[in-house]
Amino acid sequence: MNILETKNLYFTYPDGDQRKIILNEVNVSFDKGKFYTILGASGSGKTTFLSLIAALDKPERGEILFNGEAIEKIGYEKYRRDDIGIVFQSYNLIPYMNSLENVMVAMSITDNEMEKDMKAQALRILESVGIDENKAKRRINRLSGGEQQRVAIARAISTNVDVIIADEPTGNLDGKTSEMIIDIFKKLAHEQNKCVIMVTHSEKIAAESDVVLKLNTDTQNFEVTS
Amino acid sequence: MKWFKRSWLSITRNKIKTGILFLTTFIIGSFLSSTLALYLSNEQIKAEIKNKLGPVATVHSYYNFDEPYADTYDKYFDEYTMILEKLAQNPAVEYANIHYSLTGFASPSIYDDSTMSYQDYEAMNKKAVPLICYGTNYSMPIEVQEYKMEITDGRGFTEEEINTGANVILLPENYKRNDNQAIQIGDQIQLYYKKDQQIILEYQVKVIGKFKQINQLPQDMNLSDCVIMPNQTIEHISLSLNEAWLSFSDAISHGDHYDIPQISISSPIIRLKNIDYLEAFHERATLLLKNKNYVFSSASDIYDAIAGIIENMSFMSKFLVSSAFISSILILSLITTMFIRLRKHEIGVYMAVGEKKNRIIFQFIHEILFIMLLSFNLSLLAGKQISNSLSEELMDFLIDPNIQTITQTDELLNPEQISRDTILNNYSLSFDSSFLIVYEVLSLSVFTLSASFPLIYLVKSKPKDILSE
Repeated sequence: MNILETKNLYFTYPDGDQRKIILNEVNVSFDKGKFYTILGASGSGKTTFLSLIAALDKPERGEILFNGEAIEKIGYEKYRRDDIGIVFQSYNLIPYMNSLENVMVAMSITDNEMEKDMKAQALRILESVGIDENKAKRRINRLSGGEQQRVAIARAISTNVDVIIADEPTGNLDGKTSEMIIDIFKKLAHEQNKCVIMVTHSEKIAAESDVVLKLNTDTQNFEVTS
Repeated sequence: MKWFKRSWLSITRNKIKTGILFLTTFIIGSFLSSTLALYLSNEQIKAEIKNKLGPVATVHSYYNFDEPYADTYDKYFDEYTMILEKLAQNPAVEYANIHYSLTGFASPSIYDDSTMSYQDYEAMNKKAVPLICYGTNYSMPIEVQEYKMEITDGRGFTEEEINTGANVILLPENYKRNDNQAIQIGDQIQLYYKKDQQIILEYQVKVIGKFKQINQLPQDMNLSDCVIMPNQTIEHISLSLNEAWLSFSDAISHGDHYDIPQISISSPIIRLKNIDYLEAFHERATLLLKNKNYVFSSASDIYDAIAGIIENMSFMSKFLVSSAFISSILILSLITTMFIRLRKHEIGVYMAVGEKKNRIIFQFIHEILFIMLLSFNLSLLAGKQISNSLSEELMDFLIDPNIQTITQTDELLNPEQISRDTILNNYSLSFDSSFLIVYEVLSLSVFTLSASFPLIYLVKSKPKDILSE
């Protein structure tokens, strides 16, 4: 069974007096253990699609199924809390907390089972993305962009979710740092059996993924290439 | 990391934001607490003055007796007693202490042991002691009920004695018989009225009790030379005296009977059951007192005469406290909105990781509540200083040195002679528990109203909208 699936997903934006179709009856599915990238021109609806599958917004029509169950039925809030992790382009970390605290925020919010020593678990997760204990205790504004993004990835995976959704996570990073982040995502998919879905502008990064979904602005639907 | 800990981290690490909210609340709180202290103190002083004056009223008579005096006196007496009885029947009245009195009487058989020794009394050839017949309309005189006097021996009157005008009296306890023996309860005492060495009337009364004055009476009334008896008894004695005088004066062609003492009615103290009834009672009394010979006066009139400045201060402080309250809500709403909007991405992050909205709200409420209440409470200290200066400034502004202070008011209704000067000299602001309770309620209201708008914004937002703003 697919871990995540969209059925007839439909979404429009207001465009003057009209409404512009962004996603038109989109049917697409995602599996665990694969790294997906979503490509498309600016304004094609990549981020909109991501917002919908991340339950940050609601579709006008159609549904999103997680393990065969509609996320509306699971509850948007609960779905975000227990079933997915989100990584943003602008990191979206809490500035007055350190890296460790940022990760522990998500761990304390989820209903998923966590280790008794949450702090040790968070430090191990941070270590796995290249943030050592010293950096883990630094305030966010004292970390580089790449380090901040790795903290954001650590936060996304800290809740033992199966799906990681990332919105242009390398958009603000240099080439070398981007490569490191992509490596993390690939490992998450291939070594930890996660389903990683990432929006990107870069054909080069897309080439690193297992499946490329290209949003066609004419059909407002995906073309799938492997 | 639970919402409570996140909130604490935010308070301690977002020092500038915490500082701005704290400082703004402190300034607002100082103004709010100072104006509130001023307002509540004025209200308390107003209540104290009203309480001291009590729910009392009276009707003074300024009857102009036309000639011949004899024709108008009876009319006056009937009219005045009718007015007082009608007022006394008003359901708002707790009591109406109506006194008749008759002077000019004496007793040949008793003397006041406290004012002269028996030897002196003997040396004066046991001259008769002048006595005032002092009436009451209550079986237990109001003076006893109000601890102005006490019955030291015997009893008070019965309702029957009051209604029928029985020949019974209460005698000051210091009186003795003219043979220096103690007067016993049940003894008969002779009162007489003499004119030109002629005894016009002799009247036998029975002593049913002895009394002692224990506290000051209105208008410094002294009961030491009074025998207390029912008003009706005084009316009987007066009638008997008039009849006796008429037959006596006919015999000696001595003019009209009003050459002898007549009953007088002193302005009564009418106490109402509640101070709130005074205004309505005043209106009813005014309708009853159609002619200019009677003037209704109440504690409200005295209050108006002496507490004008407090009323003005109260009005101004009410305006100030209302302004402070409204401006507090507006300013703090803006600050908290700014406070929350600056952290909208943080809210978006909590939503994105699936935090429940109520917990996000708890976190922000806790942060704002903690800072605001701490600041509001510390601002009490500054508020105390400000309110002292504010009250002095207001007094200077309101006291017109050209207006002469009213120093004398109706002594019957204002026995302590509370004046504007005594009020102002004793004026002080109070920061008591009632002030603290009202202030805490007010500051919580300010918090609730100012924090509600940004929190509604928070609850209504979609995470995508917050994160993309």
